[in-house]
Amino acid sequence: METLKRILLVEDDPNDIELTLTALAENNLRNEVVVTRDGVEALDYLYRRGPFAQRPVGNPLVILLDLKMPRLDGVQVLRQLKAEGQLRLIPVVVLSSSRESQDLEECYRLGANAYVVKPVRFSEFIEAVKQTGLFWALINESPPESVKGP
Amino acid sequence: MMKTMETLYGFLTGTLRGRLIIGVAAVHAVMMALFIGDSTVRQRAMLLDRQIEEATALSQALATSAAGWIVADDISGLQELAEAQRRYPEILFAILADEAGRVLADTDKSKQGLYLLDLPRDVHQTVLSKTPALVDVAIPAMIGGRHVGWARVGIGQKAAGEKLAEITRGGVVYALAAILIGSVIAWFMGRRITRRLYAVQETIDAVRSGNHLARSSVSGVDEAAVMAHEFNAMLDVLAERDATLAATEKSYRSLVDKVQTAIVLHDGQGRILICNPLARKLLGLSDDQLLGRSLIDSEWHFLREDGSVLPVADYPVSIVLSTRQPLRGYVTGIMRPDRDDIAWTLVNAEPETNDAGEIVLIVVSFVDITERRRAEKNIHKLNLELEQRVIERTSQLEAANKELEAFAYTVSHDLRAPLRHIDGFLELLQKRTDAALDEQSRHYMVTISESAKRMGDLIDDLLSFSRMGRNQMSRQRVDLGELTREVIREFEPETGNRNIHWRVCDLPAVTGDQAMLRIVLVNLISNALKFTQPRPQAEIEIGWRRAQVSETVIFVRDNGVGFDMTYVDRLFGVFQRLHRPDEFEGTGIGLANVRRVISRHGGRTWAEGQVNNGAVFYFSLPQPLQET
Repeated sequence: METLKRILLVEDDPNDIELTLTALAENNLRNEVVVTRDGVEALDYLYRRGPFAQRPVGNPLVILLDLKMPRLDGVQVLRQLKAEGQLRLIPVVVLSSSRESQDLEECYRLGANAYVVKPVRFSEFIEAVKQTGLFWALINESPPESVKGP
Repeated sequence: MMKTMETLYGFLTGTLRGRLIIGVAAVHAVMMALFIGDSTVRQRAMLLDRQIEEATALSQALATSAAGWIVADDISGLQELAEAQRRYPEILFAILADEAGRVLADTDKSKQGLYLLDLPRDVHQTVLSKTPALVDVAIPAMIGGRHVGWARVGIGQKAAGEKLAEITRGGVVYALAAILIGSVIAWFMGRRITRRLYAVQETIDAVRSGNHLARSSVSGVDEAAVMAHEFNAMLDVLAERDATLAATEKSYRSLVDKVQTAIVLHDGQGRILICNPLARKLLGLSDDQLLGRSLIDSEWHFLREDGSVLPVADYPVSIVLSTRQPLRGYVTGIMRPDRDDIAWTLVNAEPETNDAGEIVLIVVSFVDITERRRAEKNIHKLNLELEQRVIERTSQLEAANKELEAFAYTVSHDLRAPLRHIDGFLELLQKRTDAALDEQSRHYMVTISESAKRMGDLIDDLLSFSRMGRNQMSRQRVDLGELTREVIREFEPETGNRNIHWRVCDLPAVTGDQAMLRIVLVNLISNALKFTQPRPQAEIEIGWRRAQVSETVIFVRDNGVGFDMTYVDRLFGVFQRLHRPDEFEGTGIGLANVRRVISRHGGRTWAEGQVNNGAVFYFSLPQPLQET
């Protein structure tokens, strides 16, 4: 039996992490959620290097990417991811508080697969996370390469 | 001698006087000659007739007297008879002959016995000769009807002829005298006439030598007077014309001298004919240095705009002469030997051609543009400075704008996160404690949650309001009618189950930013929908009218709860509301946005309302009405 694929959450704010995890759990998503706290950690994870060199093989099912992070922010991560050959195929959902058009444009231009604005109301947030999670985890067909890891 | 003859000949044929004299003399001569000639001829004829008469009479007498004697053959008696005829003064001969022609008696006695051969055949009185020298008449002597002989008389004219010749001579003398006297009189007459003519001539001379006021004083009614009068009239006309011409010339001279443009007139070879004072001043030269010359002396230069010396071929006059076209707007500098500065001039040169197309005049006019050039340079410099300042200011503004953007962005992102946390954890808390909490606690939590949400709304609205002010505004053709329909459609989810009566006119197309105008319509319509909620039937009317030639006014009228006109000033303020949050929701940013957008379009916003009796919201857009 295949292990359920992981979901990678890239988010710096602990409160946001807690809320997101809670929301995901609320929706009974059984996938494991890996959390990295900024862009550097995220890339380290994806490339299986540094502290994550020993992590199990296999690309995540989907990356939930926050934009505003210290060190390496979401846009830079996105740029790197979508430039690469292997990691390019992993679906990236940008999760951001910003509805600013320039952010939207830049993310889509860099190849983000989706952009979800974090609503202020938690109930709406839960709903958004649920829909997102359901979609990417259950409905969407993953690209073939993501079965194989680096 | 020849000289006198020549002068005389000239006088007689060339002058009026001479011709008059000749004419008069000729008339006299001809008339007198005719008269005398005629008279003489008549006299001679008369004389001849008399001669013949006399001859005939004598002959007759003789024949009659001699007849008997011839028969009697009385030769001596016949001879006496014949000789008796000698007493007649002009008698040349008297002959008595018999019927055979034998001379019986003759004044010339020696002729007796000779035969006359030229007696007439017929026995009849015959005139054998009829000349003044001799009138010869032969008459037959008859006795009782019988022809017995002949009497023949010859008469001359000597004495009478001499008398006649004398008379004729006298006549000729008279004729000559008449001619002479006539000529003299003619001469005097001529003098009188021509003197009058000369008087007019004197006036001409006077006028020609400069006295333009001279007028002929010849008076009278004869032709000379008429001519003098006409001549005076002509002189008057000429004088008038002269005066007009002088006046016109003076005007033109004034024009040329006083006009504030330097003018130089060149002939077809480029030589200077006329210079006006301003030209002399600008060129820095006097008339002697200018008139008649085409080039000025070598110390004096024309310059190109860049300051280099202009070659002669590029002088305005040279260019016109070679191109044969007018030259306009030519800028050249004048470097004068007596001054350090350069006078910049704007030169125009216009050629004037004759019928053959050759240039006969070139009018060069130029103005001093030194000041203007300096001013232009200044303006240019100022412009550059201004541009520089504008660039600086723009970059400052851009920097400020960027700062604002960054600020807004930060606000939007960083402020929202804590809000989200508040709400999120609050809800989790609610879930966990719901059973344990009492009504009051629950109420507190709800309030906290709602406050957080409200803060989120406020932040959103504030951001969008700031965006209204910052964003680039595009100017396109926006079909308001279409836009309105679209917006109304978008509200359908909310309005689908409500009783709303829409009255929407076909709004015109305007020039503006589509996105911003959409926001205006959304806000106004959303307000109308919101404040008509209490009504069983909402009536919302959207229409427009043309206020002035260049302004379009659009309004949204509703039959909602209206507002108190006392507070109309606060309507469009940021976050200003006239209703409590529990009456109607909203942050009070909608109308502020509308006002901002419209004012960026250059229009105005205003409203009218009555409490509980609906409201109308107007906005104007300045532009010419376009056809939809």
